[in-house]
Amino acid sequence: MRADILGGIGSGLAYAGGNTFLAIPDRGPNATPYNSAVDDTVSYVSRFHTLTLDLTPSAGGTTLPFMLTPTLKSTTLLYSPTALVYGSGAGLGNRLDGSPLGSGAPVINDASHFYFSGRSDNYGAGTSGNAAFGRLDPEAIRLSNDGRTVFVSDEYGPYVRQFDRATGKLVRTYELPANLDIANLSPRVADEIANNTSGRTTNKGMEGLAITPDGKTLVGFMQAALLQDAPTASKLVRIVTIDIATGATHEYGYQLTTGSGVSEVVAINDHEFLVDERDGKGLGDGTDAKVKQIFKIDLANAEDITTLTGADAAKKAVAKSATPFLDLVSALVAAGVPKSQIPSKIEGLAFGKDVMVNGVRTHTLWIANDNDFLPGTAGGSNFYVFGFTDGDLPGFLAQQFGAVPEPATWAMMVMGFGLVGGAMRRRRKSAVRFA
Amino acid sequence: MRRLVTTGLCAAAALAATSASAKVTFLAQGTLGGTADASGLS
Repeated sequence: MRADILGGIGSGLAYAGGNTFLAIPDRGPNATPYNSAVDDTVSYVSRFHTLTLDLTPSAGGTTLPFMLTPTLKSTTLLYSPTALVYGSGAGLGNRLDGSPLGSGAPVINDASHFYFSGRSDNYGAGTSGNAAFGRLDPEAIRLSNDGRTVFVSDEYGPYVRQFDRATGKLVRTYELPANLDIANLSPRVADEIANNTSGRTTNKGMEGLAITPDGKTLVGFMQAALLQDAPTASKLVRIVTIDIATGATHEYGYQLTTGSGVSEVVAINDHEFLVDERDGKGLGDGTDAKVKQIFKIDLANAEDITTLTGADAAKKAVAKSATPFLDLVSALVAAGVPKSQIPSKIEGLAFGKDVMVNGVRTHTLWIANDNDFLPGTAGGSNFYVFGFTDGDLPGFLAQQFGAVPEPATWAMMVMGFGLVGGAMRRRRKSAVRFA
Repeated sequence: MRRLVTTGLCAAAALAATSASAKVTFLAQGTLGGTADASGLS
């Protein structure tokens, strides 16, 4: 299997200004059976992609008002400049060719680049939150307001890590509350679930991540109930807010409606969010799509549940819209898309730039899917774009990106300042002369 | 996070009213093709 395989890119989707988006695949291909001791995970290097997604008005007579053209611009690999812990592969069976599984360290590592990868045995002693572990299962990505770094949430830790956007170099790992971690690690999902009673449910870690428009707060969403919550509150999903500057965290509760989990969250403003709640039905599962609903929540009056568990925590669930802001299955079916062709794993949500629709300025909501690197069974890497107005989503604020000048722009600015300075000096001289 | 003084119940009712009025429009769809990314790995 090639190491540059393109797939699963809609596990997370972030807007980056203009027509640019960032998309992130999860831990890589693991649907082809070869070694059940590591759940068929491979040393796929964690990465994000930079895309342009261009909208152009459709020709008359077409169903949808715009044509969408996605273009892959670049791929950025994620690494730590300091050593990470990788599995040795000892006692974990063989590769497809019969040779020993071997180390989980990516072969492209060097003395200053220790790449994160999807191999499930890339961990060592300690709880799952150990920041030095080399396994990463990215599920969401957001861009900092200065445009220089990206925040990535994952399922293995769970972790929220900050990387340099240009190089992929690890900048910071945020320390998340200890009640999200598990104590007994395993390369296999089933073993981790069986051997732990507290922490994230394996493979259902921090699936969603939002950044508030002011760029100050990250809002992470667990996919499903924690192990300690599930016995008495199986529909309770934890929200974790992180102050980007201080790292301070809070936990809040979200109550699932009919979905089996939450896959993404995007910020409407500093206290309201859209939440992508879904089940596993649809293209890729061999069934008709059923629950792909986007609800609106409000954390303005939410109570911290960090110290609460199960039913006690569920009583504090945040305010949530009674009906979805968007029922994706209904919307796509109304546009002629068969339920069997709607992806089961709708996992990416981002607001994009405004467009004009029939003379009305319209905000855009972009939706992406994770095809698990299986285009033959789960379809392509799809994007769906929806429009809404301020009346549909009151309080909506676009993320405020600061300009990050390119080198050529800096040169122009320096020249510009020089010209302005020269003009001012001449004007001062003139003023003196005529005073 | 901004903190409001409304009760959770009031906030929930307000959210329900808001979502009922939403008229979201399907604008476009597209698919990214290709089997290789731009990582340069092989």
